[in-house]
Amino acid sequence: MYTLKDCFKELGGSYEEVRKRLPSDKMIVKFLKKFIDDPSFASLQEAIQNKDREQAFLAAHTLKGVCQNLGMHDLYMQANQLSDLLRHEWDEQGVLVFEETVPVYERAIQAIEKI
Amino acid sequence: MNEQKNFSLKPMLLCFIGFIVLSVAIMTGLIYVLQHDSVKTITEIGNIYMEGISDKNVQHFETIVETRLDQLAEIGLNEDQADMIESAKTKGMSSLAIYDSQGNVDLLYGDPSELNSKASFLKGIQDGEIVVRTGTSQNGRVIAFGIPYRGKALVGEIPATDLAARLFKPEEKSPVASLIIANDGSYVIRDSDDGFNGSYFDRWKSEDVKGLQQAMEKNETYSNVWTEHGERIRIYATPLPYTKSYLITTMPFGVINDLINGLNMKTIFWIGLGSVLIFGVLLIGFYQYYRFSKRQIEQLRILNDKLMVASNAKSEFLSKMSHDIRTPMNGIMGMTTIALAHEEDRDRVKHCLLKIMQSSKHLLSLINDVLDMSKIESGKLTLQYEVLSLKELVGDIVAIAQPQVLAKHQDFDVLLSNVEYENVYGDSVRMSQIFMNLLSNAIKFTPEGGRITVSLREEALEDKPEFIRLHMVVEDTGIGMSKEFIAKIYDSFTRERSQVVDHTEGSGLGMAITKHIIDAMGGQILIESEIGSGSQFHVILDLKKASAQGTVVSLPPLNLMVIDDDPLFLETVSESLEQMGISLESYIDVNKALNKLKEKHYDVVLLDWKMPSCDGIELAKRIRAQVAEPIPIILISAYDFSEIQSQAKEAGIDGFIQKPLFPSSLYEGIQPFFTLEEKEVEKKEENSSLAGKRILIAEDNELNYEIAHDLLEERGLLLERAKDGKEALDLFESSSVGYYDAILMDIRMPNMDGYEAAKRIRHSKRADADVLILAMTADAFNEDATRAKEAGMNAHIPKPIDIALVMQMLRKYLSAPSIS
Repeated sequence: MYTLKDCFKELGGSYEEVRKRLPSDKMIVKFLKKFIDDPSFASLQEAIQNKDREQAFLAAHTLKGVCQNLGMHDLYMQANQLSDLLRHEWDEQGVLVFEETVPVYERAIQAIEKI
Repeated sequence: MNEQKNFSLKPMLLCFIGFIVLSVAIMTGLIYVLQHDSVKTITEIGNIYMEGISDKNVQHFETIVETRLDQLAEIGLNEDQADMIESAKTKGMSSLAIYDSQGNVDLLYGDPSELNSKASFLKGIQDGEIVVRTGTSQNGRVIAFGIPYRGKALVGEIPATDLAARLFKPEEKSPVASLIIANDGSYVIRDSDDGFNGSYFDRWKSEDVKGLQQAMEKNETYSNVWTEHGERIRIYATPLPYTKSYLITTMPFGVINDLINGLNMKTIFWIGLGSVLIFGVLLIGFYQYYRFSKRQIEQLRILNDKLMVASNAKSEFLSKMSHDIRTPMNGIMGMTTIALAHEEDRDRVKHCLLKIMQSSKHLLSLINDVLDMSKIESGKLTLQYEVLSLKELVGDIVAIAQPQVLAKHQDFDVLLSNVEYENVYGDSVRMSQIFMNLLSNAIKFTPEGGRITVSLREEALEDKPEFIRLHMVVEDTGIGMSKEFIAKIYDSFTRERSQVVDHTEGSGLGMAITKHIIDAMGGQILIESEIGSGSQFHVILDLKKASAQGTVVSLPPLNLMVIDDDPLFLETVSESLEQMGISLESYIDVNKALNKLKEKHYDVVLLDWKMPSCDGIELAKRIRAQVAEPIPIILISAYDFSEIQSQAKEAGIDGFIQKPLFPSSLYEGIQPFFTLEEKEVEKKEENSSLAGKRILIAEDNELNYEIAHDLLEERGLLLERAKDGKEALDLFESSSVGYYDAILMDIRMPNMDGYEAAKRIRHSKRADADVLILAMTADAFNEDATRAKEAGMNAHIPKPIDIALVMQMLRKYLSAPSIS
C-alpha cells in the first residue's frame, strides 16, 4: 500500500516532520490533494516565459511557502533557488533553473496522485 | 595683539576729532567771511543812505533855486524899479541888484555883498547864463541868484540862514549832518551852528581834506570814511547845481556800523548756539555709538574666546579620540597577527579572539558615540518609535552591568515601584543608550565597595491618560560632581579635570548625547550631586502606553513570605504581589521569620540574595534545616545568578528571579511552581483563554490560508480572510474598534504587500491602530525581520507555519492565562 510515508520519501520530505505540524493524516492528505490545484507553479511558468521578474519572484516565493507548509522538500529547494535568483533583477539563469524545476514538480504531482 | 588692531576704535575717534576740527575751521571761516562782508555791507548801506539824503537835499536845493530864479524872472517883468523892489521884498529877498559883466553893481535895495567866484559869476553874466553864488554881506552869508536881464544880470539875494531853514528841516536825533560849503571851504549854510567860522577844510586832517578838495576841483562826488578826533565819520559830498558850492553830508560811522555789527553779533550768537547744540547732540550720539561699538567688540571677543575654547576642546577631543581609537585597533591587529602565527594552538587562538572581541566592542562604542554626536550636531537624530517592553529594556541593561559591578565589588540594586504598564511606545535603542550611559557612569565613577541603585517608578498622568510618566533614578555613592561641573556637564567633550577622571575611559560625549536624546523625547533630566558623597541622576520621560499589555496577571491566592531587610524592596514587592491576588507577609527579622515558617503554612518564600544581615543562600540552608515542609524558596537579586547557581541549588533554593521586578517577572518566577497539571489540561486551559479571539489572516495563496485556517480553528479562534494587503486594510478600517484581536499578515502579496498594509494600519487614527500584527513569511533574513519591525509589526513568524509558535505568540501579546 502506498503510504504517506512513501509519498513523502518521493517528495524529498519527512513524514514525521510534517506530522508534527499538521496534526492528522486526514489533514495532510487533504492539503496535498489541494496542491494539485494550486496556481503558483502555473503562474511561475507563465512569468518565466514572459520574463516578468516580479510575477516570477512572487510565484516562486509563494510556491516556496506552500512547499514548506506541506513538507515538499525537493520542490521547495527549487522554488527557493528561483526566488533568491529573481529577488531583485531578472536573471537569465532563472530560465535554466526553471527548466530543472519542471520535472521535480511533475514528480511531486505524480506522487500525490498515487495517494 | 593682532586682535587689538582689528577691534580698535581708534579710527573712529580720529574721525570724530577730524570732524570737530573741520567744523571749527568752517565756523571760523564763516565768521571771518561774515565780518568781512559786514564791513563791505556797512559801507554800501552807508553810501546808499548818505546818497539818498544828499540827493534829497540837492533836489530840494534845486527846487528852491528854481523857485527863486522864477521869482527873479517875475520881478524882472516889472517895468518900474519901484515895483521890482516891492516884488522882491514881497518875495523875501534881502537885496536886489543889477550887475553888468564888468562887475558894476546897481543896488536897488538891501545891503551890498561880496560874491564868491566873482570872475566866473561875471563871465556867466556875460554869457547870459543863470548863476547862483554865495556871498557875504554885513549881515552874514547870502545866496545870490542871477538871471540875464537886459544884457546884464538881475541878482536877488536871500540870507543863507533862510536857505538853511528851508533846506534842512531840523530833525531831531538824526545822526546825519548836512552843510554847504563854497569852493574855498567857507561855510555857506549849515544845519547846526557849532561856532566854528573858519574854513571847513581846516577842521579836518589834511590828507582827508585833500581827497575832498580834489573831487571838488573836478566837480565830482566824493564819498569816504574819515577818522577824525578818534571817531570815524562817513562823508558824502556832491556839487550843487548852479553853484560853485558843495553839499556835504556827514554821519558818524558808528551808527550804521553798530547796527550791522549788532546784527552780526546776534547772528554769530545764534549760529554759535545752534552749533553748540548740534555739537552737543553729535557728541552724545557719538558717545553712545562709541560705547555701543565697544560693547559689540567686547561681545565679539567673548564669542571669539568661546569659539576658541570649543575649537580647542574639539581638537583635543579629536587627538584624544584618534589615540583612543588607534589603541584598540592596534590591539586587534596585534592579536590577529598572533592568532595567525599560532593557528594550531586553539587555546591561544581563542584567547586572541576574545581579546579581539573586547577591543572591537570598545572601538564600536567609541565610534558609535562619535557618530551619534555628529548626527545630533547636524540635527539628524531621529527617534524610531515602536512597542517596547520595559522589562526587557531594563533587564538587558542590568545584565550588561553585572560583570562591571561584580568586578568592582559594588553594591547593586534595582527597585521598581508602581510599574503597571510594562509595554510602552518608545525608541528602545535610544532609551537603552540613556540608561546604559547613566548606569555605566555610575559604575565608573563609584569606587570599589560603593553602592549603586537604579529605581523605576511609573506615574499616572491625569491630563494625558494614554501616557505614563516614567521616573528612572540612578543613584551612586561615587566621587560626585562640583556645581561648576554640573553646569557644563552637557557640553560635548567635557569631563571633570581630575586625577580620577583622567584615568577613566570614555569619550566624554555620553552626557551630551544622553541630554539630546532626552530632549528629543520631550523628557527631563535632573541632577543632584555632592563631591565625595555621590550623585543622583533622575530621568523623567512621558511614554505612551501600548495597548497590547500583558494584562494584570493573577496567580492562585497563595500565602507568600518575603524575607528582606530593605523596607523599600518590601514595599514594591508587596504592591506587585498583592495586585496578583497573593497575600503576603514580610519579615525583616530572620529569626522571627523562621519561627513563623515553622508555625504556619506558606506556599512560597521569597528571599533577597544580598542582605547585610545575612546571605540569602545561608538563610535558605537554615530554612531547609529547620522547616520540614518542602516550600519553594525563590531567590531574588539584581545580580547575575549564574555564578552561584550550583551552590544555591545545593542550599535548597528552587528558583531565581532577576531584578528588575516587573509584575510579569514576578509572575514568571512564581508561576512554574504552581502548574503541576499535565500538559494536556494546561493546553486546554491555555487554549480556552484564547477561544473566541478574532484573527484576520491576510494570505493570497488559497492553500496556505486553508492550512492556517484549519489549524487555528481547532483552537477555538474565529478567523477571517483577506486575499491581499489592500483587502486586509479595507476589512480592518471598516471594522469596529477592537473587532480584530490580531492580524496574521503574509508579506508577499499582490496589490499591496504586508509591510504596506501594516504601515497603513498603524497610521490609521483608530484607537486599535496598534492591534497585534504578526508577519508570516517564508524568508528568514534579518532584513525581513527589521523591515517587519519598521512597518510596525509586532513580531515575525517564519514558515512553515508552526501552530504552537503562533499560539505562543498570540498568548504572549493578547492575554495571559488565568488559573483560578
